[in-house]
Amino acid sequence: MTDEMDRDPARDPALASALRELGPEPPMDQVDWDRLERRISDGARERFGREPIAGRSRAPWWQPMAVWARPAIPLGLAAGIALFVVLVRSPAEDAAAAVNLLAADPLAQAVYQGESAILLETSLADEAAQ
Amino acid sequence: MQGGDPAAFDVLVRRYLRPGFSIAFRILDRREDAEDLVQEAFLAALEAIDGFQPGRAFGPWFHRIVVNRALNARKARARRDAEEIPEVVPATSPSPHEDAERADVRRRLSGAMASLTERQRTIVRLFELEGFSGVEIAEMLEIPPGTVRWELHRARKALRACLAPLAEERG
Repeated sequence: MTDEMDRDPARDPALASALRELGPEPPMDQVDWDRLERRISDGARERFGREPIAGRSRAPWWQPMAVWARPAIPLGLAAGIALFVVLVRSPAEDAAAAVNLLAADPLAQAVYQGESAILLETSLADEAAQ
Repeated sequence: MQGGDPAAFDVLVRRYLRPGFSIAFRILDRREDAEDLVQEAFLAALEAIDGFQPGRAFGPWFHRIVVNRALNARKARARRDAEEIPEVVPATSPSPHEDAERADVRRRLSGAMASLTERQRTIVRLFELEGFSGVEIAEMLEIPPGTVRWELHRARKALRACLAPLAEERG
């Protein structure tokens, strides 16, 4: 029995013949093969219409990131340095920059003076109330 | 085809369409169903082509898709249909001239086929009628070749018992 299970048994023509009589044989001559081939081709085109078979990407998910890694690393370093410079700038430099801006921009001067006038009016009103 | 060559797909369709249809028909017994199924199997193969190992034969891999889908379709159809689907559809009804004993053998063989499991029926049809080897069938059904041969042995034993009267008559 073990030996029988190790290799295929001989074909049984009598059994095959009886089984063929029993059920219909595949109707190979009734199939319109050209039409069926077209159906399959059309189905393939329809299914992959938006993404042509030739252009299908089989790249791993991380590959786009790997492509961007080379320019992204120096750009990230540069952005980090710029951020560091901005954060550690002294308040004195900021104040000097603000004075320069006020001196150079009449609109900024007007806004600044307007706010001062409102503050002055508010504090005078408070004092009068007390 | 894995390289994305549509022409290669067409070549495979032309090469494996007929065997695929034949296998599907053996399981489904209906031409229209077998046509639809072989079409679906090709599209499924195209979708899953990235999982196909290069260097291996396409045929057994594709036939596995066909067999699995056909068995599932048959199960679904059996559930869907209100009436029981006859397991074996007689090719022709017995003619008045047909030998009574032969008709009886056919009737009993039909009953014996119906009493087999779905897997045994598939195995015996693929082996005896489609000419596939035990190893090929094992690959299609994703079971060990020894299991295929054991199931084939059991199925043939049951079927041969029905043919015994006919064999005695011939002998």
